[in-house]
Amino acid sequence: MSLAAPLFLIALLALTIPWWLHLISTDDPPAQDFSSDMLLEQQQTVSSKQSQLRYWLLLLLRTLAIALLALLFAEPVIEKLKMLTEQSTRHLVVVDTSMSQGHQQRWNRTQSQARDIISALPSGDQVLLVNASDTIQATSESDLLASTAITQLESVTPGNQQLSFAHLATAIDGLVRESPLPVEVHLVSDMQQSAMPDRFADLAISGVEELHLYSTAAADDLNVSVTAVVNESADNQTSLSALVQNHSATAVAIDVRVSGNNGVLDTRNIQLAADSRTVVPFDNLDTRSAGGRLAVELSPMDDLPADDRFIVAIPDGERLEIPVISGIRESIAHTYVTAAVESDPRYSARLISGDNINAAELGSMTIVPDASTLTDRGGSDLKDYIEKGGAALVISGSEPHSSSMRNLLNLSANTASPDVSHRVVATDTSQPVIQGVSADWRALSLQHLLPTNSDADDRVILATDYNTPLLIERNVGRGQLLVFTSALDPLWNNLALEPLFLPFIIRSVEYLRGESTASRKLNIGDAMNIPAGAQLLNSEGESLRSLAELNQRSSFTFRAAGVYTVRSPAGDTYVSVNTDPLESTLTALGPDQLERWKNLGSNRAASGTNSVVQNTDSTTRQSLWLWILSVLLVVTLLESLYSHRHLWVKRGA
Amino acid sequence: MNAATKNTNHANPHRWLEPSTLARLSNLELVAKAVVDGFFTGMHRSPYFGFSQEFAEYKAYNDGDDPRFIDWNVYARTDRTYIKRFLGETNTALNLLIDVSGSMNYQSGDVSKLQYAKFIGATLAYLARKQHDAIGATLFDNGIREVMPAASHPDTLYRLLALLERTNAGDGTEIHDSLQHIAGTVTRRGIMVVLSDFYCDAEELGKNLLPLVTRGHEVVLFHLLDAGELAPADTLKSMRTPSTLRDMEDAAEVRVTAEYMRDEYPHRIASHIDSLKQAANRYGFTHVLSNTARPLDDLLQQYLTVRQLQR
Repeated sequence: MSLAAPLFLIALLALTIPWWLHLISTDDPPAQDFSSDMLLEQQQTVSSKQSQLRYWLLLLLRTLAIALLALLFAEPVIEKLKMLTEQSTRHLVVVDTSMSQGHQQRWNRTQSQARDIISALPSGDQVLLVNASDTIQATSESDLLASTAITQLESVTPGNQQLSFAHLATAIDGLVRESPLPVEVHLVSDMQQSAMPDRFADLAISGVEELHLYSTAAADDLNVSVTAVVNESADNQTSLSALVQNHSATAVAIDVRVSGNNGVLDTRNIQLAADSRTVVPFDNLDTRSAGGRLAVELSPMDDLPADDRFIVAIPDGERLEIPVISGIRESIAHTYVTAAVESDPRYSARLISGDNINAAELGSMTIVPDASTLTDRGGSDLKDYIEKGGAALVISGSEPHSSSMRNLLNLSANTASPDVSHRVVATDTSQPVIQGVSADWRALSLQHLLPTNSDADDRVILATDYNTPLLIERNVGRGQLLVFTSALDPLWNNLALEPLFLPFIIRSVEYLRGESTASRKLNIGDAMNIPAGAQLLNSEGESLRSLAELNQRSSFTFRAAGVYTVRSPAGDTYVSVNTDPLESTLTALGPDQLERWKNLGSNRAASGTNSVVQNTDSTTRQSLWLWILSVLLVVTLLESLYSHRHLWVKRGA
Repeated sequence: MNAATKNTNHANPHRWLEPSTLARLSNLELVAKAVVDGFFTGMHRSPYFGFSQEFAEYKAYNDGDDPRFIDWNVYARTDRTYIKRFLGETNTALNLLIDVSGSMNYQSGDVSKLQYAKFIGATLAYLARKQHDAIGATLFDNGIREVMPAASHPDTLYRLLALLERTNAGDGTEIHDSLQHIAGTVTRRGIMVVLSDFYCDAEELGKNLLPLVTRGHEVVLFHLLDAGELAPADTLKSMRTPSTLRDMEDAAEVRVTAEYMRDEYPHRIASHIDSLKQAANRYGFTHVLSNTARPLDDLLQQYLTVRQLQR
């Protein structure tokens, strides 16, 4: 037995108290005068002996009570030594707690199977319970007794996350490598096909003695799921399409309902054949008071309710203000950019004077249509803003730039290149700003651009046939900078007149704000960059970033479904987070796939990663707190009864 | 004296005759006067005066005689006034036999048994003196300590009171030897009042008193006990188990338990008292039990009533 808090044994010093009282009390009480002893009867030596004997027993009870109390606070634990022989094995019982396991029938089967596995394990073997979803986590730091593992199993519940078998294999691989004993892995899961990696070999777990796969899927598990996409949303009118899928082998009739903050906006009743899908359109929904979000729900919900509701974020009718910094209000570049921004119903442009740049007003990003209109001070302020986590699209100007702007843009010359026709020849098609429109950039007519020095860390998104960067992405301090090295001037290029100008501006805004069409819809487990100065609020309006995090750009991983708000001085952006649709597809791996998986991976002899262990000791710790408390209560009760019985002196009326 | 006190006095006239109050009086004469006068004037109207209530003779009425005793039947027949005189008025001797042994010093309350015995003795002596009876006293402990023969001299009362005042408790008790000695020496018939706690054998006590009874003495035993003797568990300090009790006469120590003192001892003392009563009935003397917290007039009333019943 060992003690978790041995310092409390200092309380044993209190044992001196009852002993001291005993020493005092054993002195004979002073004799009292009584008129005559004629009628008294000597109770004497026998009584004295009895009294002493009783007192010693009382002293013992009191001493024992104090000792037990001190021991209780010292938190004794008993370490059960388990003598492990070379036949001892460590069993990892991995329970799939992904969203699909939230299907009521599947979870019941999972718990029952896991319970049976643990109960059937040999008494000399160790067991570790592991929860598997988007994170793979053991329920305890050390191995458990079978009874404890079963108790912990009862408290495990499935979540809303998605399980990837490849991720699981990697994590289990790590646990296996750490183990000095042979390891058997018992995976209890619904074996979803959608959890499989692209490469089957990614499922291999090296060093496993044996891999047991238990499928809890059943062909008659009913599940219908819904996802949705907003087709159009402007001026408080929204159109969306709901994709309803029936993953079961049974036809269903179901209601699809769209709700806002103030109630149901529309309902459709649909019939779905077995294992089929359909798109249900909802047009011209009045989202005036929807509060920036719509919920598409199925009714009635089935045994897997997590995917029977899908939340979409929509603009709340208010355009998000995009700061546009300009030194000269009437510059043509300013006009072009403003028009481009406001062509998107989500945005409106707000002029910020180049002489009075306040980072707090800029929010998460800004646009500088003509960098040459900013003074030195303006350039410094802009650089300061970006370095502290801001993002900016800076378009070069046709006039000389201030020194601070030259530094920020890293211009190698303050004059335009000669009047030579340039062509865009190199494009980084992976960059979201130009994704899908790179061909249009090649058609751009360029006469002038400003030469820049590109650092090794710069990302050249567009380059000309003269190897001159046209569009550069650069990290400045904690912020982000997109530099367009040609001016929005018809003498320099025809960008402003080309159709790609609008998507260039809008996509730049989206990219620098951390938005993309796809990123405004996320799955549970996805992460999103939150820019500096922006607060992230959950569905209940609670802040999710601390004050320290507000000053910098950081990543946030979403763990719960809902509509989140990214709030910045420029306005609010809504992000909808839903369950991963992959988890809704209940199709399980076939027997042949499972068999192939079981046989995948090297065995112990081949890998040699785990040596044969003989007679190794292993210990499990069990607290004795409850036992000692019970004994203490019994001793205290005995002491009370005993002292009451023998020391109580009645006084007559 | 405020109104509350006045009301208390009127509501509880015994208050002035409680031993605790009497103990505050400066001397026994005041005690005796307080008890006797208080007993007879307005508190306990008794037609009986004196110790002896038996009619003895007629006497011609003279100025100063109590007109209440005029026999009007005789006047009607003879036209002469005669008053009745009772036996108590004729040369009765009161002999106080007072136990002054160590055990009489025991007290759990305001007065000890000896002090209480002094109150009774003074009261009876005062009463007897008013009746012009002779008064005498014998003090004994483990032997006869002091004797004051019965006498009718006017100073006798004061000498007796002074004797009582200066008497303190002694050592052990030899009541039987003392009573044998007294029985052999007292010749004048009268009333023998024994004031003691009677921690002795009741049968032997009766045998020792029998000669006095046989010779015509009226023997009255005032059995004085403290409340702490009747219910010791209530009054012994810090009664613990076990406790040691020390005899006040021979310093013998006895170890007892609280349970014994609470449960067994009261039965023993009650049994002893009962044996004394039975001895009194058998041998023809009067047994009056009193605890030292009892008001004197109450005790006196009981005594007179018992005497009256016996006649």
